[in-house]
Amino acid sequence: MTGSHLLRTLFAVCAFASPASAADPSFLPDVAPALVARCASCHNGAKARGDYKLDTFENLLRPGASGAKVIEPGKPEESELYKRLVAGDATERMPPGDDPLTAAEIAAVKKWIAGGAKFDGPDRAASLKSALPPRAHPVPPEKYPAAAPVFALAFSPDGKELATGGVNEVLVWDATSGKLLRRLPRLPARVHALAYTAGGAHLLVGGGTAGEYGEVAFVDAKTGARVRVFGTFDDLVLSVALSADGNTVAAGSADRTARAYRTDTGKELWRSALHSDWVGGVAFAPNGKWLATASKDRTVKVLEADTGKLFTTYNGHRRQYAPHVGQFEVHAVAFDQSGLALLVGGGSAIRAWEPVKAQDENGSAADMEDRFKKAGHTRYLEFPAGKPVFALALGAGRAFSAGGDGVLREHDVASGKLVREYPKSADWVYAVALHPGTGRVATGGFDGEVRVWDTKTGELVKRFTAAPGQSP
Amino acid sequence: MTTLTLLLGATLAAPADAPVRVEVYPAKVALGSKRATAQFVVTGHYANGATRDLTRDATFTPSAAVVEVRAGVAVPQKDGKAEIAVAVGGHALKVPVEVSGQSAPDPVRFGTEALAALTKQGCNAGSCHGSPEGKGGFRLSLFGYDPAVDAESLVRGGLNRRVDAFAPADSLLLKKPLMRVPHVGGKRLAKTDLGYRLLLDWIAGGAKTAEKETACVRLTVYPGPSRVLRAPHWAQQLSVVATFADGTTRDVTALATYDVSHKDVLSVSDAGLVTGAKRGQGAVSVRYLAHLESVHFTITEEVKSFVWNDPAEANFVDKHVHAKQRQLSVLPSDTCDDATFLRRAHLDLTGLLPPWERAKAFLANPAADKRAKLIDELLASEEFARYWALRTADLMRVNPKTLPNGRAELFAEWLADGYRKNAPFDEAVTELLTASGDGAKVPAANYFLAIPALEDLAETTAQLFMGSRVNCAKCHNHPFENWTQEDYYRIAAVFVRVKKAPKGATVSLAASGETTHPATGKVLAPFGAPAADATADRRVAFARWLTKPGNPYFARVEVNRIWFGLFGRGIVNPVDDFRSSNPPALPELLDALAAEFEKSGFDRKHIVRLICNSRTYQRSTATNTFNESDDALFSHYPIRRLSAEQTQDAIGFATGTLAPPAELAEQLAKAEKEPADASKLAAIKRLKDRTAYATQRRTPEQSPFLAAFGQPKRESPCACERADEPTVDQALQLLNGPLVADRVRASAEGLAKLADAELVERVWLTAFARPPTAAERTKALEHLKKGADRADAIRDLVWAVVNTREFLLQH
Repeated sequence: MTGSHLLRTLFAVCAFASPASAADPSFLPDVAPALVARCASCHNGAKARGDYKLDTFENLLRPGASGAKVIEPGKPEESELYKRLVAGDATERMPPGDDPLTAAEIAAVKKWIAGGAKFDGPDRAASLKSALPPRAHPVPPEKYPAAAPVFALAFSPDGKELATGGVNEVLVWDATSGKLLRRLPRLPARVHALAYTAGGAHLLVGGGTAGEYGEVAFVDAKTGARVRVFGTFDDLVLSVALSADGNTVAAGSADRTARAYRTDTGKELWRSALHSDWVGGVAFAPNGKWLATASKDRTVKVLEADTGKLFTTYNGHRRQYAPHVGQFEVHAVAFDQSGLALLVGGGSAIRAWEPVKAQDENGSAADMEDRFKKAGHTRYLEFPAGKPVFALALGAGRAFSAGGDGVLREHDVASGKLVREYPKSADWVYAVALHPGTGRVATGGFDGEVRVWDTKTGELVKRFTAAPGQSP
Repeated sequence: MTTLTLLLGATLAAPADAPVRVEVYPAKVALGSKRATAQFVVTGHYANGATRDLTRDATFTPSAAVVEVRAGVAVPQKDGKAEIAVAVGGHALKVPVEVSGQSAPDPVRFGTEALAALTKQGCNAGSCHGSPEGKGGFRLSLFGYDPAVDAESLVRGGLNRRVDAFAPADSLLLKKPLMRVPHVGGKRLAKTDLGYRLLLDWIAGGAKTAEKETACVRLTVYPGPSRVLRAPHWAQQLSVVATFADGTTRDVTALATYDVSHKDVLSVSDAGLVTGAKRGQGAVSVRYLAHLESVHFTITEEVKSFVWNDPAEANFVDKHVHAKQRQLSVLPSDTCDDATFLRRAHLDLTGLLPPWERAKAFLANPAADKRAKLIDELLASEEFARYWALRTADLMRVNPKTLPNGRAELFAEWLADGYRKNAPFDEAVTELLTASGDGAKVPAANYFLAIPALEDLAETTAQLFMGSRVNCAKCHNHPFENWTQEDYYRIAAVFVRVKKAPKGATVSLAASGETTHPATGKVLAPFGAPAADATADRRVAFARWLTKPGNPYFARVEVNRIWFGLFGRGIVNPVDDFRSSNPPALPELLDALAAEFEKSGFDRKHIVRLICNSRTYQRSTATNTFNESDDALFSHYPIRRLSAEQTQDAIGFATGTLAPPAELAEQLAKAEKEPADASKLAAIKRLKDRTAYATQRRTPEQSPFLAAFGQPKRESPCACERADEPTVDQALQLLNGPLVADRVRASAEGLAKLADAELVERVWLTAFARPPTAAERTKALEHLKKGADRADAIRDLVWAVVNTREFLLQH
């Protein structure tokens, strides 16, 4: 059963957050989002302002230092929460030194309290932020005022279409002519990760709003309808992957977690918080046993795909050569068919290694890099970028990588030799996608430029700016 | 009625409260863009010569609606010309205004506006994102010194998460400091801040970082360079104008950052309003981009019942010191007594206590000029040369570990010889900085050999002879001074061709070699002055530049070091931290001493003599009502702990276990008469080298006692390496440490020969340079009589004396 077939049988049952409606507002969809967005960064943690926290519903009801009753059900005018939102005195009104909540947000709070201030969630002690329903996203701008960076690219399974991440949308282009075919709107503000299901009916979309929100969702590749939101995150989702059998969805986020979900039920299988920084790359091993996660924390971890348990850590980017030299953030990871893991970040090489050997040889030890190099456990595919390298795509024995120097490089994985450097882009390249069937590779960059190359000839197929309203 | 008038007169401000003249700065205003503003500063001049900031008292009335004035700041409204009528204190002036460019686009500039806004909000401070590793994955260059790094971090770095061109107000760069999303640094920005507007508009304009910008070349702070604020008018608005390479100017008062040197004396607001907090002096430093300017403020007030008593002046030192003291209503203490002076001068000039015979004679001498004569005698002594050389050697890392095979001793002896012969300081330093050859033959070459790396050479030379701690500028522009990275590597360029070989024992010069700017890769010209030609020794040109009269650093730094040696505190303090944001306490005095030093042909002894003869040096440590809180103007002599070496030798004298140097000749003669076997020869050498004296040796003795009292390891050019803090270890050393115990035990040997009365007098004269008081004498004599064992009683007495504060302190 392919992922797309399976999805056709699914019901789209997800409830998405909606702005306060005329009906009686409910707490989680209508009231909590504004409180979380506007109040929780100060009223949180050990140093919560005024000794008042609203990280959970339980805490939200608990009076702060002033002792004033937070909520008097049925009586907004006697509820401190409401009173502080509308106070005339600037020193009283919340949030201080910033705009008040919008009229609609305040009205929702008032109405909700007036209606009895009921809690509609399962657990009063659970984090409000994570209990919020997925956000409803606005429509994208009809015409882009400027080119938007292209962080994500994916070829459709037939290689004819190329999806790019846009602003609140995914854009689908003809991969040969560069013509805009469809816009899939009402998606996260920034789309950082894209993958087609095997049949091409759905797109796995990861993205969000920096510093506050991330989501990974299945989107109908024709209509853009969000058929399932697998999960929401505290920061951008930077990477997504589908297992070879299509049964598992994995995502890595700037909130430092990697998570896996069952494709059919959407159930979260596991959540891993082993990284201490962004998880910018996730990749399933061909044997289906492992998920590799690449992080800005300069490590790559190999997790058991079923359980999320740590199999091994690869430390080859951690060595420090001198103050502030060395220690490269890892942005992307991929496996080749033989199970060799390849990864890119800063530094001057793609590192290629095998998870089992890394575990046998204790890949997390401090002297690991020297030892692996000596033993030949790590191979180095040289690339003199001198800038961070963000993207890696693998296929047919070739590795394609690109980053801050704007150069797309093609390496032969087996020999480690640099096969080709494609003509330099004018700006940083954030995304690379490969379609082995057609032999095409595409790049997307900061200036919104997408380039499609024929890997057999090295010729440019098409170049366009992936931004409606912006000419190339 | 008369009484009432008098009372009113006394209660209200001084009668001459109307200014005789009012001045408005700037005298005309041109506002050429929507964001342009102009800060007015209105100054009243009074009949008594005083000035007062009237900016907040003045009314500003524009003749047409092209401009508004809000809180003293002109804000453009529309293109056109007008006049602003400024009225205050019965005076009225007109300031012409021209407003233009109000409808022209004016995108926010990255380098000179957006980065300045980040600095203003504190984002790129050293403790936040300006730290070398950044914070929370977001790194900025310290105070924006490297715009290329910042451009990458802000826009393309972090996967472009920080700026959002589609929804500028949703940019993380704004939401974080607004606390719209959690920010470890807390709330750092309000929507009403100029910084918010600038950053928002910069992002909305496309967050462009590559546009060509004209560089800021100068910062003008008004008023400057110094101002006196008289109570109750302790507030002063500043105006800050940046001049750019194309000649244009911009008022950056709201964008500059402000800091003060003395937080107890004054404070400054984000808008550049300076407010005094108490009498005293302090600097306000104003930073905009890489430029830093300082304004020195003197905060004065009438002190009730303070009457200046016109203390006598011995020389110009007193004249300048008294002028400042009078201005700040500080009354100098009386002159100290002869015993105090004798002990003080001996310790400061020779490191040693005066021998008891000398104390006795000095106290009995009725001559009026005996202090001046004593100063001359001490300056001529061998002890002076050795002791002052020791302190210089401290800063040049002279120790046998870094300079083995006798080179440390050779170098130390060269330094002592400089003092002995009173070598002109410019010549001595030139010889030092241009020395080449074998360190075993050319003593001064060891200056280079003692310093491990090229960068240390640049830093050490700048610290020693330019009084500047430039090391910050190695990695980034100096945060508190105008030293740039370029300056740093230009100083290094002076020494880049210095080679140390073989085995680091010989200094030679390479024919070529350059330093480059670490960021731009540009080859840098040596600091100071260009060399005669491409292959000439760059050090020669540098030394010539450095030692030339009028050099801003050389003379001032050395006279300040001499002052520090005599008071334990510099006129600029710390002594090697000259910068406009750390102003001298007595600027006129520092200038006068430096001028005198140059005029005298860089005669160090002349300056020492001048200072020692001043009333200021001879002040008592006792304070009066009007100087008890003063710790900067030298109105009373500063009490300080004796240095490690002084303490050890003083204990030697007080216990009779260390012979005064006067007896050395005798001991030597005696030793030389005896048959010369190896041990005798070694003893003679020890006598000649004065190894028994901590203050007179060529190289430092290593002992737990000296270490406890803060003897420096001689590993850095900083005078601060000598620790002066009190520690528990010091107390333990004095109570029953081995050195004190041994010497106190031995003290009975010599003293036991004396009768009680003479013994007590001898102990007091030796330890304190004075006879005992009647009470002390009685108590000591009783103690000696009471003791069962006289030797033990003597030891007790000596031990007690050695542990008194009077003994352990310089006063």
